[in-house]
Amino acid sequence: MRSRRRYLVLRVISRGRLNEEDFKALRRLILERMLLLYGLRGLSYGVPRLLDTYPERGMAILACSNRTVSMIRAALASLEEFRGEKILPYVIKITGTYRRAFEVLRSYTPEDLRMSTQ
Amino acid sequence: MIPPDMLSREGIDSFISLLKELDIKLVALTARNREEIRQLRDLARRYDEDVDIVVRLNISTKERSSLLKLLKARREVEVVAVECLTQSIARIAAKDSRVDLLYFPFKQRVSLGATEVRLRDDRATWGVELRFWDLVRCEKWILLQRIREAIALALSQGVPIVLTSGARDFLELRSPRDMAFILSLFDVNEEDAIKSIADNPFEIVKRNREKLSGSHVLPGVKVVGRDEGYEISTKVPGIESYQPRKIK
Repeated sequence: MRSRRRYLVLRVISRGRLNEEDFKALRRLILERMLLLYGLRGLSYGVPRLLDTYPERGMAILACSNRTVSMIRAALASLEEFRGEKILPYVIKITGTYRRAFEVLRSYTPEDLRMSTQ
Repeated sequence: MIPPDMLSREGIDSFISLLKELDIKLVALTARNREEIRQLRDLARRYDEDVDIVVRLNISTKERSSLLKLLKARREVEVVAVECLTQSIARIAAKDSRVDLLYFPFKQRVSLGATEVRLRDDRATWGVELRFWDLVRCEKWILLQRIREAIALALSQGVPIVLTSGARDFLELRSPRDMAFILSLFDVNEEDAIKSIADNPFEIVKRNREKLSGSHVLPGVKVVGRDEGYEISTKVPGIESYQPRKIK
């Protein structure tokens, strides 16, 4: 059965600002976590690709197969640290087209989060 | 689950924004004693319009007497959770109708089997709490087997599973939908996984709010009005010939 493509608009909240390189490293981390949780069988359904980033808002678009959406979401939620700092990654929206994902990325205005509690 | 000591006045606003951002509709603030319950209730009342905030009492003890003493605070909180540190505590808590959640620290070698659940047809009055970070940060692989067995037993006996974040920091919070997918690793189907983050916790809170409202009499019986006459719209078979039992 042919798998369909999905686009995940995700956001990463962290104490420091992430740049484009950080998002590439984060994608690698997601892959490692998927391998740990679901093994080679899980990865064989397809690996996510980083399509677009919006570092100012800590947002990015990942493209993946519809079969791996749940795996990526679980792997993403289980990411605890990135370069020694705690992070909070989460999926904002899943779309069927890149165009729609890009619209979400562009129009999304996250709540003003002041992570100054610690 | 957020411990109260992290909730400074300045942090509350960003905390509420973050909850909205992550689409978290219900948050339980954890108290460990009566003083904390009072403080958190004040806080919950102030911010209840934005997000549904409930106060939960976490009882973590190895002594039966202190468990029963803390359970007296039942009417002050929406959720009571007992950490099953010993088999006897697990057994007592499972039989007590005041308990809403049982949490098994899997390192303690106490499992759901210790509660001797034999529900199947009957509905459980409590649920099993699974903390997301316990599942992810599993230090020993042998613990994974215990978690899997506990989940399988709970599902086979009709005990509701409640998946919580177990967060101790803002950045440990996770989107509920993202968290639910981790249960697929333990062979929980999507429907049960969604129930564990949505229906089951809401049902516990709804049931307890009803009890706390004062209209609750017994399970299945509640006061719907006072000092007014009521028309019986549906005929109950055998109600006319009903004779109350004579008490000797």
